[in-house]
Amino acid sequence: MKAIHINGATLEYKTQTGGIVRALNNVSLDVEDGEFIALLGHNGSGKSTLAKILNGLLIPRLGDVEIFGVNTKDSSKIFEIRSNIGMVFQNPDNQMIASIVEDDIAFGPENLGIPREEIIKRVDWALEKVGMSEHKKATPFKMSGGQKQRIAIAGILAIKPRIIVFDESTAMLDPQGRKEVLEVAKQLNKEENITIIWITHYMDEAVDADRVAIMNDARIVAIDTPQNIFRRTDLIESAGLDLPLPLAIANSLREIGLPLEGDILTEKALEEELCKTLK
Amino acid sequence: MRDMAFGQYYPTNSPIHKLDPRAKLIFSLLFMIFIFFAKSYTAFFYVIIFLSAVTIIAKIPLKIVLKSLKLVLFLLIFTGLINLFLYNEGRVLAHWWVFTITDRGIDFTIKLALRLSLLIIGTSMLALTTTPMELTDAIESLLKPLKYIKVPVHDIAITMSIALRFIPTLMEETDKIIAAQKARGAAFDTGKVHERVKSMIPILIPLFVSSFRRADELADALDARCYNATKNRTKMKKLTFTYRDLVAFFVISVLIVLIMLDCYLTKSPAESIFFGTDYYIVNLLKSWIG
Amino acid sequence: MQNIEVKNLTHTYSKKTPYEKVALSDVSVTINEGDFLGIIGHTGSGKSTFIQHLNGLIKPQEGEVKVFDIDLTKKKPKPDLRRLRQEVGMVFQYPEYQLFADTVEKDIAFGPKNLKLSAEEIKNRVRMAMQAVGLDYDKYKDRSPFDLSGGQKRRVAIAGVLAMSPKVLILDEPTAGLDPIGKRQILTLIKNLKEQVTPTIIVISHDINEITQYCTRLIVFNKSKIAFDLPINELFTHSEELLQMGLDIPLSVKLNNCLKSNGIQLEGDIITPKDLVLAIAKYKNIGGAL
Repeated sequence: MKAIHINGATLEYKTQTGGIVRALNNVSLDVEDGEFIALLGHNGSGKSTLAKILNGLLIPRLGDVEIFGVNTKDSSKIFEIRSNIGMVFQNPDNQMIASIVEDDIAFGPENLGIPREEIIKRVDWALEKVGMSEHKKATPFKMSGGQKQRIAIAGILAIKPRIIVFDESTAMLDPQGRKEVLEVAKQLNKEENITIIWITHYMDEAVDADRVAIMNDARIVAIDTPQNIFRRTDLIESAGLDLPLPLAIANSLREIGLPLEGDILTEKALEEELCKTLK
Repeated sequence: MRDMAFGQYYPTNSPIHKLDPRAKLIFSLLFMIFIFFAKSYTAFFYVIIFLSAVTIIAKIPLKIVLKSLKLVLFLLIFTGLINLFLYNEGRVLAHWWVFTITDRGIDFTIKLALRLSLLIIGTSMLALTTTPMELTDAIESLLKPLKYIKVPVHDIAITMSIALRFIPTLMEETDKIIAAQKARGAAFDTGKVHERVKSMIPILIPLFVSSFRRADELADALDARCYNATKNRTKMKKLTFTYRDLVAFFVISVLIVLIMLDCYLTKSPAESIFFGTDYYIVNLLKSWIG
Repeated sequence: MQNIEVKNLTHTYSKKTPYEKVALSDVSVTINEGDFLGIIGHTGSGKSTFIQHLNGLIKPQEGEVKVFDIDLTKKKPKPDLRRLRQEVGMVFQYPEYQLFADTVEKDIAFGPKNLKLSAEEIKNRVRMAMQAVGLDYDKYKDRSPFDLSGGQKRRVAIAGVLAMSPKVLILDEPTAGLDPIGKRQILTLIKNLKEQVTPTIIVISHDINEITQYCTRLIVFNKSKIAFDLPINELFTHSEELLQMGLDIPLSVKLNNCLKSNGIQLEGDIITPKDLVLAIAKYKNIGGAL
């Protein structure tokens, strides 16, 4: 069974001035259990709308969305879907409901009516997974953006979802915070086999994904391995995106005639290839 | 930094802090009611002894406790002066124009000031030893019976919790917006009243816009975390009464009995509250003791 | 010409409370006309506190701050904050959150209006500022700022500061939260402003690869002190120290260092990708067209 199955999803919304904007145009996507998918696109390309149809925050006008075989249109099963697919949003301040870390993390399982002893176990486990155990009794107010976002992840983990969607969860963070949050997501993917949908416009965050999807004008215009996607420079450019910096440098070096080999997506790859070629 | 999550909370690891917040809330209510029955200096003495003991056990510095009085100092002095000068029963000690100072006026003023001060110190004990979140939990728990008449107790509690959580965030945001508008030459502290009101618009509109955006995002976050998934919501934090609460209850009962006894010993049957039966019981007690 | 002079500036938040925190300690900086200055450092390293001193949002506690001829340390006569804020324009993080008026024109006119300029002059300023940020006056002046895209909103907010005609412009994280197109537009905008509009520009940024593309001098804040204040080509001879502070260095510098340790010596200062490509071309004697 597919973790996510989207078939021909189409959705419009009204703007404040009364116009109609198509946010999703016949979007189809299949995600296997345990995959790490990076979803790239400029602002307004439809990424966030795609995220919101995954857990039934929005229902597509046309087409279907199935999460482990359950259709989001079936309103009687909406909480089954939401406990299977968690979502971490952009602004860490706007997704916390309690002033104490452990109370906030307990919120999800409390909503699901999980027995008290089990909640306590889950809170400890979730905090450990995001490396915030020593902040259990603290207030998130004075924490860094990265720490707040890790607490938000713990709040989702405590629901024990099989998929987590990160909707530009690093956009408001400093480089340190970005690293921390991406690291946690990768680790959850590896260790807990949680399927990850990673929405971002930082190209370097996409290079380690299993597959990269590019969104433009309310459509998924390409989905492939990072190597194959970033080879298509024209596609990246027309979607209003950048190449990862190491690849951009490698490409300009190739242009002047330096014979660099292979797919150079990371700093490390560029370092090695450059030393090898120049020696 | 201002952090409303803790309000006045003064963290120490004392038995008072560890009391069940529901018990503390009830004790505070009892205290607020029965302090009005303290009529004589003896009764005030009991109350002062009680509050001193609580302060010492709670390990809260005297300075912090007295700080809570600072806010109402003006009120204390104002009502004090009014009563001192305008209360004109009793033996006149001094008189000037409409102002009269009498012996009973002095007595009344001192007692009023004492009662008000002790009331404030007593209730701030609750705030000093209990976090607002604990209080929210306590209120939710105490209001639980109202669920049966369809009062959305849980929604109220969540709303309170979210409000507490967002007050510091919104205050920080307000500071930022004020700074940004100041940088564009806005002045908020000069001009006539209507100009000042008008000068608030560049702060209020961005603040509203951002609050609505936050509310929108928060609503999505609540939904994503299965809010309203079941009516049988559970709670991680369980409030339980312990022997400690029982001891505290005993202590506060002794205080109340002392105050009430004193109250009846110093007044006449005409002032009886419960149609004379209470006075009859007190007289009976008196004859036993004496 | 000297624009800003800061001497031995020290600032402590929440002095004499349990939350006391030193934000700046003994900071001295001179900023000259024509500087294209970048400020880097971790969140909480003191850089925000520092820049807020430069347009009078924070009063100096210890040390001296002098901006043009305005001495912020002086008590009498009081420093002229209105003129200061006209001379030093400040664009905060996420400046679009300060927008409040119903049209773009009115919002941008807020600053000049506070300066009590004539209606005609205000209109000129708005027109000039919109042109500077690349928004067509006739097309956008009557639009609601809340209907624009994220990048456009940010440009309106920057125009609102430019309309004050500052001699020094400070931008705090000007590209935060924007997508690649938005980022590129803002970067081009900053370069243009430096060349054509504002002689002195100060930018705070977390993105070292971005800031090194335009700044010529970098100040590094670390633990409330200035760790380095160097021209950009000298700063990265201290790569090791920067990495130890947990700060990033530009990718081209990293690559060059790696090549060096492998015995490959490239010529010239290498900071941007362009520098690197040129140096390698020279080293391998290829790409003659460059």
